[in-house]
Amino acid sequence: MLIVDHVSKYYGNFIALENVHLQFDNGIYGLLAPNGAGKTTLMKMLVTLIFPTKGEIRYNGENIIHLGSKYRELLGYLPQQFGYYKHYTPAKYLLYLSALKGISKHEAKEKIPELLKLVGLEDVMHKKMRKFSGGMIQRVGIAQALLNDPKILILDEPTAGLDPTERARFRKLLTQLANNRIIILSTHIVSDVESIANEIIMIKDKTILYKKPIRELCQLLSGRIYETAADFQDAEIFRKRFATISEKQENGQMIFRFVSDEQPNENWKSVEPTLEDVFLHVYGEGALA
Amino acid sequence: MIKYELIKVVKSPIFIILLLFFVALNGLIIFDHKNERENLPVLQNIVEQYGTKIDDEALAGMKKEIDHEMVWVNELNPKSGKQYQFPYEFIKGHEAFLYQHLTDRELNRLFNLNLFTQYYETAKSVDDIYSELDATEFARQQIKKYGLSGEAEETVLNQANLLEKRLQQLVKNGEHRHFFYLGSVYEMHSLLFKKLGRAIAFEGMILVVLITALLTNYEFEHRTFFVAFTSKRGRNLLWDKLAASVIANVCAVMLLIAATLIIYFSVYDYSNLLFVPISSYFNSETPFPYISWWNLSFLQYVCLFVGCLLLSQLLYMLLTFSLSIWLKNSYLVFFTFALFAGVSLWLPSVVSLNSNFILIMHVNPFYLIMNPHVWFMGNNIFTMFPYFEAVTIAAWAVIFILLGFFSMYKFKRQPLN
Amino acid sequence: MRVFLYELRKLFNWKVLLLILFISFLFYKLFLSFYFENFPNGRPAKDEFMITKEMINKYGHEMDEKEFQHFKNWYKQKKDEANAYLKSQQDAEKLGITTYEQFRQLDLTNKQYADFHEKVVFVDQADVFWELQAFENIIEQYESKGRDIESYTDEDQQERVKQIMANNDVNSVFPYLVYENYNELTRFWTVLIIISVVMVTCRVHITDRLNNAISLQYTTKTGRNLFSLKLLAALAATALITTVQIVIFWFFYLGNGTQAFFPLSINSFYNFYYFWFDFTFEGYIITTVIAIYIVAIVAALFSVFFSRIAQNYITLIGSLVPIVVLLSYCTLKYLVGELFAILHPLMLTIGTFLVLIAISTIFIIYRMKQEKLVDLI
Repeated sequence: MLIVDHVSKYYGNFIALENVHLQFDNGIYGLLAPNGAGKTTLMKMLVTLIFPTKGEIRYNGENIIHLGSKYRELLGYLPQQFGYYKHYTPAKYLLYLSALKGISKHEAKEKIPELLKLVGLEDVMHKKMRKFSGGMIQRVGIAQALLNDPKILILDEPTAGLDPTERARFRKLLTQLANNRIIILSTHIVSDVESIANEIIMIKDKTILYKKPIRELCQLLSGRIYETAADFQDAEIFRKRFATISEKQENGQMIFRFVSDEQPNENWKSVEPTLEDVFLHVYGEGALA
Repeated sequence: MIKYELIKVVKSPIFIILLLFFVALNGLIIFDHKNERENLPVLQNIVEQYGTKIDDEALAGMKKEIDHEMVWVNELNPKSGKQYQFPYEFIKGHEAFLYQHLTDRELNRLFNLNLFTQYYETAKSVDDIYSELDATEFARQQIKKYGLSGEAEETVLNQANLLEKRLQQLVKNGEHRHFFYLGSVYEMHSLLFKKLGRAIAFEGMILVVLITALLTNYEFEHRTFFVAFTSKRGRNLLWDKLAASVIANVCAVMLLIAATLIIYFSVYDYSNLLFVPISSYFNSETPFPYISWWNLSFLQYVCLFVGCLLLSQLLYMLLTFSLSIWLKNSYLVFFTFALFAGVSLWLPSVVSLNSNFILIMHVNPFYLIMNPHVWFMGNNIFTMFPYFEAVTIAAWAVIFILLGFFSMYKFKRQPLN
Repeated sequence: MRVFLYELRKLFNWKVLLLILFISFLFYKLFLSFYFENFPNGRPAKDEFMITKEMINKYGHEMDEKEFQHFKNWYKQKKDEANAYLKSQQDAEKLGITTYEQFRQLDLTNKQYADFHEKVVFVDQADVFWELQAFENIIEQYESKGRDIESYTDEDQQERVKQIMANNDVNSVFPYLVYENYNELTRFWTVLIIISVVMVTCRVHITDRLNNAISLQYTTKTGRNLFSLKLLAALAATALITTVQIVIFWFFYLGNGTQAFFPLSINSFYNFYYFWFDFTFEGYIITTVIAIYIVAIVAALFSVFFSRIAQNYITLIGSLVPIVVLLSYCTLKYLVGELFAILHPLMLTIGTFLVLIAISTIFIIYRMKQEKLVDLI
């Protein structure tokens, strides 16, 4: 069990996170927030790259800073941007990281082909990474995070650069892994976590706004989401009159969704809220950009 | 755009630290052996009284002054019973006596008089020395020393003829007949133009390579090249960077030179000597005196020296620019540049000594800065050409500019990933 | 251990090695080859070298008063040889030169004499005349040993000279030219070592920073201990480079053929330097080698430190330039060159070593502590 116990992080006068309290059991957690909300700060504290100014993070009752390498041994981490050596092959690169992770060479040599197969890179295992695409590099990154069979897996924007099939495969992989470990992934792409996360954590104004299962989050807006269709020429009027949270095109018409406590008129029909609605409602339309 | 590039330089404190370090280093060079140069004011007094030009009037005046002072000298040791004409005669016979019986002030006066006499005697002998000077003989000795032969020897001897003509003209102008700090004693020319000149050249080189590499490689090392090189300006952005390099490098090098010269001239007083010809006999440090190809005053020589230093630095900038485009990594650029410098200095030593090729090999931008004290002069047989410096700089400027265009041409067609 | 080996391997990047190879080659050609190709440098240096070697055969390591008398006799024999040579020369007869003493005191401003002198010494290169010069130098030095005490102003220095004079070691026939040659070579070679060490070790951290690798490396089990491992890798690389450079140095240096002088005391009447300690040449060589390793390690420590804190190569190289310049300056002056010569106060040499070691170690320890505490953003 991982507990973030009333943690704050300041940089001088700048507040990066304020009084964050969280508890993680095995399962998948989606950290959902727009860029700059403090997502990365929280993640960096979870992986001990930076230290809390106030409060502490405990794993099974012990401060992770005191646990040190014993904690990091259990950790798998995929940073947003991570370094790789262009002249290394994925196999060699993973071998290097397994040394850093304290995995025996023998064990690593068995594990690396398996992992590369898992992320679909077995064919290029011995090709230099110089010519790899962004998606391929990202999959190498996923593989390295899993090298030490981590109890805590922390993934910062893991699906960046992946195509839709790869995304689907990745989600499947995560659900398989989630039985006996804590998986925390940060994203601003709602669909990444919608189907798989046990709980969603939303950060706003430097602190935790919600930590709830998706179902409960959606209930917050239950009965308050309305949808209607309009012609293109009316779209501008709609936008001015109502606080729409999303709009999309369907069959040559515009479909608008918005939040309201009561039904404005009979043209609007009440619909089930989705995670995206919650997200957009909380952060405003700019959040998805 | 250029402004933004310049900000990158100003925001790197390392350049200021390096600049200060280099100026401090040059300060050390300037102050080193300052004690041995504490009698320099003797010359200042001579110049104030007699002017810088040596003529009969000045010589007569000096002799009179010596005679007058010798009365005092001859009274110093009444027991000796001898009448000395010159202070060095007295000093020679009284080495022990001097330190036992004279006060510091007296000693100082005596030694200053001795030095004064040295200036006098040297001034008197100038004409004789120059009537015997033989540029061809000098060239022959040097040819023997370095083992030149064949075509190369011929070329050098031809140049020696040219130097001989210049020497005659110099004598006619009376350029040699000027007071200046005694080169054979103080070696001021070597201190300023060789030691400091070389130091500045190498220090400048380090600054220039680092500044140019910083600017040119900036986008590659900060992983911003996707943004930077896909903007409207695109890969031509590198031209802006080059322009910014010129400004930044000129500023850095000029600051270095200016700071060094300010220290130098505030330690050593040249105020009365600015218009003394650089080819004055007093400036010479070796049996064969410095002979500039033109009648240059000290001040003019300093200006040319600074100009030549600055231009050579711009050559290094151009080379660094091209190296950066190819290597895209400042570490590699820095040491590859060092490699270029080393090769340029080494190659002339492997070329055979009997063809003009050996002389051509010396026309390179790194050999150029090895002997800044004989720039515009005929004192080095490998560079015994009136326009050696101009030709070296111009030729390599053309080569490096072409290289720059070629590198840009390649760069524009290069996939970036 | 495996991490250490990986880091070590990463340091020896082939491009860097190639650069070092070329730079070493040029450095050798520009600064060093002269002292191998021209040793002993000209005459009578060559003759002095041969004669001192011969002296070791005849007298052993030292030459006492009795042996000195023998040496003077030997000199006399050589003089007879010279006289015989002069007698055989017709020009000499014409000029009225019959003995070496006359020859020696010729008025060289006289053109005839000068030409003859030139012919004998430089054109014919009659060995005996060079050898005689060498003999004279040695005799003069032996007879005037200790007189240069006046040139030392410091009491400690004078005390040390007196001490050496009282010791039999001063009669060692160790010539200055062997010392000078070793001194020039070793001090310049050390500058090359400093440059090579810095070129390799300064990449230790910065390549990872520029590669964005830090966040990955520091979240593994090794984590913040990576700094120590990299430090070890850099030190191992330093030891390796220094050793290889020293081995190459000795490969060339043995060609100078000075082995016969190894067991001799270098505080000799025939060396222009005196030393604070009673060194044999061997002992001195070992001491300089130790000094070289210390200088190399100090250079490496600074280079590792700046490699960790510099944000880019320019800052890194820019901050290492003053360090390399200062370290090289001290090396050339007194840390390796003229090491422990009494020219330089003993405390200055030892003090500089201590200060260098202290500062570089403090820098590294400070950073090591920081490593455990700082946020890595």
